Amino acid sequence: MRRSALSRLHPASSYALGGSILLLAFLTKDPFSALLLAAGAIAFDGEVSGAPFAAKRLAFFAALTALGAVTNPLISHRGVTVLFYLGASPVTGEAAVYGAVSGAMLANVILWCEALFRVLPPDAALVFPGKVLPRTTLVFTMAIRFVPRLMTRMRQARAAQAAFHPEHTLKNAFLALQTGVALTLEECCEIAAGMEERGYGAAKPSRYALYRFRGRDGAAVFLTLLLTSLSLAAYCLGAYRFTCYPVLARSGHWAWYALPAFLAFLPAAAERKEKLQWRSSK
Amino acid sequence: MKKILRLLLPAAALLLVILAILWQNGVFSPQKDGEAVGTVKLSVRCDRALASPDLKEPVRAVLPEDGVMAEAEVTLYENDTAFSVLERYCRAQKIALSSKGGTRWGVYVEGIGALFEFDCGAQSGWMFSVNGSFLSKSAGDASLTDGDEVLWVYTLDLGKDVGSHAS
Repeated sequence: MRRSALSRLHPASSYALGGSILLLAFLTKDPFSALLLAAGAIAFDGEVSGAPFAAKRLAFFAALTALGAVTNPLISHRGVTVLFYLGASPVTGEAAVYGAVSGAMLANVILWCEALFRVLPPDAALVFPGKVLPRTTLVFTMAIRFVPRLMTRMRQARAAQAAFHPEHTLKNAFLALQTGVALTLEECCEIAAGMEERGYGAAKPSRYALYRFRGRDGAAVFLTLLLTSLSLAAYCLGAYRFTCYPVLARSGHWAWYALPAFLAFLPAAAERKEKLQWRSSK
Repeated sequence: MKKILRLLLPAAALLLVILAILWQNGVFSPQKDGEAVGTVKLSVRCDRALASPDLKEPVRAVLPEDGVMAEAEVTLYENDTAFSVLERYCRAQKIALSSKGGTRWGVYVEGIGALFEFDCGAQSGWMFSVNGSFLSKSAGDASLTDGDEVLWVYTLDLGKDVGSHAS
C-alpha cells in the first residue's frame, strides 16, 4: 500500500469516494464521461506513482479502447455510416464508436480498481462491518484468505512429505491436500479463538479506534455524497444518454459533465494539494 | 527466449482470431459475378415498421417517411439470388446490410440499414418475396429470372401482415 492523501483519510471517506467513482465508471455509457474518468485515474496515478507510470496506464487505456473499436465492427454491422467493406460485410462507424466506448468503460473500471487498491488500506474495509456484524465479517475474511493459505500449507505439506514419499502420485497429492485443509482449518479456529480472547465482537468494545473521523473526513464524505447523488440524478434524467445505433446521438446539457469531472479529479487534486503543502512547510 | 515466446503466443492467438473472423466475413472467398442476363425490379419497404408503436425514435428518424427504402431496376447476373441482388444493391448504395450466412436454413438477413429484426417486437424482421409470392426457402437459394420482381419487406408478425401464407 502506498501512502497518499487518500489513504490518510478516514476509511469511510476514502471508500465512499472510491466507491462512488467506480459506480459512475460502471454506469455511464457515454464517451465523454469515460474520457473524464480515465483522465482522472491517470492524473491520480501520475501524482501517486510518477509520470512514467501514468504514461503506461494511458497506453493501456488507449490499447483497450482501440481493441474495442477494431473488434466490434467485425462482429456487429449495425449503424448507417458504412466506412468500408471487409469481404462481404460492411464496417460501420457507429459500430466502431460503440466498441471504443465499451473498451474505454472496461479500461476505466480496471484503471480505477487498480489505482484504489494501491492506496486504500485493506484492513480498513473491515472497520465498519466489523462493528456491526463481527461474526460475519470474520468468516468472510477467513473465506477470502482460505484459498491462498491452503495453497501455501499444501506446498509445505508436500515439501515435508517428499522426504519419505518422493514419488509424484495421486495418492501423495491427496495426502498433501488433506493435510493442507486440516492445517488451514485449524489455523482459522486458532485465529477465531485468539480474536475472542482479545475481546473482538464483545458487547462493549473499547474506545480505542485505529482510524479517527476528523473534520476533513466529514467534509470529504459530504462532498462525495453530494456530487454522487447529483450525478446519479442527472444520469437518471438522461443527462449522459448516448446512443450509437442507428446514428450517434447525445442528449443533455454539457454542463452536467462537470459533476463526474469534479468527482474523477478529486483524488488527484487532493494528492497535488498535499504535495504542495509538504513543499511549503519544509 | 521465454520472454519472446510469452509475447508471441498471445499475438499468434490474436492473429488466429482475426483471421477466423475475416474468413467468417468471406474475405478469402470473393464472389465473382457471372454475365449479365437481364434486369429485375428490387424494392425494400418498411411501411409496417413505421406504423408500429414499438419502433424507437432514433431508428424512425433515419427511415424514409414513405416507407420505401429502395426501388430500383437492377442488373441480373448469372446465378443471382434474391439475396445476392440485395447485397450488391446495398453495397453500391452504401447501405449497411447485416446478414448471417451458413445457418441451417441458409443465409438470413438480420437488418437492412438502420432497421433490424426485433426492432418492432418479437415477431418482427425482414422477409422477401419474388413476384408477390413468399417462398419457403432461403433468399440465398431463391434463383431469379429476367423481369422478376424482388421485394424485401419488413413484417411485424412473421409475415401475416404482409401477405405471406407460408408462415
